[in-house]
Amino acid sequence: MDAYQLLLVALNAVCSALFFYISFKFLTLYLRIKVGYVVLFSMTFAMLATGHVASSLSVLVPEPRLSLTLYTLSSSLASSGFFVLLCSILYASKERVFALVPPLILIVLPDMVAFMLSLLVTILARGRYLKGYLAVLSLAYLVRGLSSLLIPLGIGVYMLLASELSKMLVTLLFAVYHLGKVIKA
Amino acid sequence: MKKRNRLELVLEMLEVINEEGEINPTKLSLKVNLSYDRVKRILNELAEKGLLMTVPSDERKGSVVIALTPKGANLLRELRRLKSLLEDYGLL
Repeated sequence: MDAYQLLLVALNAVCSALFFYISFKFLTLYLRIKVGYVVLFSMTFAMLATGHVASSLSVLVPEPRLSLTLYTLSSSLASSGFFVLLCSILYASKERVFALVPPLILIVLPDMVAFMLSLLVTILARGRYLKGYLAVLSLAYLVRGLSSLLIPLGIGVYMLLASELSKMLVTLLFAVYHLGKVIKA
Repeated sequence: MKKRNRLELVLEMLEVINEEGEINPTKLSLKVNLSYDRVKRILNELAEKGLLMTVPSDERKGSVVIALTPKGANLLRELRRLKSLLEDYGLL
């Protein structure tokens, strides 16, 4: 490990320790006064802290695939954390302008980008079967994007499993359909 | 007047109780500008958690006043510290 990597790991470790401490303080506050958005605030910092742990591990782990997974996990946790923070701000605030922020977050998620592009191709494509396949595929990306944000609520896991399964099934059907055409040709 | 959320109400109530030392719920409701029923409900919840205690009033015989317990005073100190962070995020 070089000096740069060591510095990154050290900074990540300090950040995660501080975020876990802040999360703990707000969790204890919630337990005493039971204000909903305080627990959401605590969750935000717990997610950011966990994200920094994942980021540290991504540097330390020698196996490239695992390292990449941890690296991706760190940014996913950060985006989920900020989404939860937005929820707590919305919960506490009456300012309508904040309502615009969650859709903006959704738009920048990779799954949502895939959804929008596949939807565009669906609109431009010709042929009933092709349109049908692309429509289901884009829907699967939409559900997967939403699921990554809803993971903290529990329902996100089921949405993710449903989107993956539907995507695989429709891909199989479509591959068979294309194969039929290729063989005919 | 800006609508206060629950956390703001709890903080304001604890601040008033701390300033007064001992206060009856009616006077508290006037000080924090909140209905007596709402104040009473919050006070009961805080008392259940051991943050407040009721003591017999010195001024009026038979009535009770409320005061902060050491645990309540501790919560107030913590709330003051966390307040600035919550304010920064627009949560207070």
